[in-house]
Amino acid sequence: MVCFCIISVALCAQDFATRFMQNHKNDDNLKCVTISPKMMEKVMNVNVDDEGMKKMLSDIKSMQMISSVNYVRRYYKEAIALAKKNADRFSLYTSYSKKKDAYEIRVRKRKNIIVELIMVMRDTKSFSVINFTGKMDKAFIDRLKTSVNTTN
Amino acid sequence: MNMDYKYIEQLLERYWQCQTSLEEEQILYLFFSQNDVPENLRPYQSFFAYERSQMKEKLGDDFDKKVLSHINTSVVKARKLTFIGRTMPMLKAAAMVAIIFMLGNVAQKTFLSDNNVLDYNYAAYKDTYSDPKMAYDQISSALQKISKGMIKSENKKADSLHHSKGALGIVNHQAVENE
Repeated sequence: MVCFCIISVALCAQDFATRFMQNHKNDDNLKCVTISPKMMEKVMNVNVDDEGMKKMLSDIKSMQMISSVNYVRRYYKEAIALAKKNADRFSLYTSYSKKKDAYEIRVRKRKNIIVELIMVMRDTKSFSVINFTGKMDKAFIDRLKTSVNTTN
Repeated sequence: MNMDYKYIEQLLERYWQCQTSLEEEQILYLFFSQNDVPENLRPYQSFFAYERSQMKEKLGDDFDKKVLSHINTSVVKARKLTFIGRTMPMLKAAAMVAIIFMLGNVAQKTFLSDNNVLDYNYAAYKDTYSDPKMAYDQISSALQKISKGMIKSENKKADSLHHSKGALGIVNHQAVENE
């Protein structure tokens, strides 16, 4: 019974990027960049002038970014299908689609806090999945909706 | 007399081979019941006397009762099972599964309390960069991409709202003109 409880908890402990990469083990076309919570702590020590940016960084716990320049449309379709399959976990925040580029932003919420923010996107040349985890509130999203200043 | 004995001996021989008829057996019983039995046949006399005495033995009146008392064991009666009785093992199993699921749910809620909303397996994360500056650049680049996406999406919404308002204005203007 204890094992069952542990397994049931462990099954939940996967972010979107990890799930996607599990479906593409040994796929050399995909590149996955990972920034762990430990590295995020170090990133917080990087000299950043923008207080707003600092606040955003403090809300982020980890980041994973998957990218590929091959099979762009196929990967995009698969990522969108995976997101839709887990729609009860990752709700659609916004989406955009034109011939050249398309994207979907999805969020996972826990008690009105966004704990996971995903962006699945494609353009003519590349496919990418950006996956943030953390405790992202409305201020975080509002700042994203305006513009992000990356100067440091 | 010798001839008779010869006959008796023949009958005896056939008796041992179970070939004698009932009448012939009666002759043997009668022969061995008399006192004057030759010496060579005397060993069989007691046997036939016993056989004859056993014939007189009959079953007693209480024989039937005795036998019946031995075979009259308790009768196993078939029990009637109700629907609930039949489904009880399944109900018990279902209850066990439900309890396990409930406990799993409670465990999940306990582990993922307010202070621990992030249920991700961070231990499995392997950093791509060792330099925090490079990691920062990557994060800010990703944030920019998301930001651009959100702004694009907001603009699209605003445009479509503007268009629909414009279309509504034209419809209202035409309605006024028609009046």
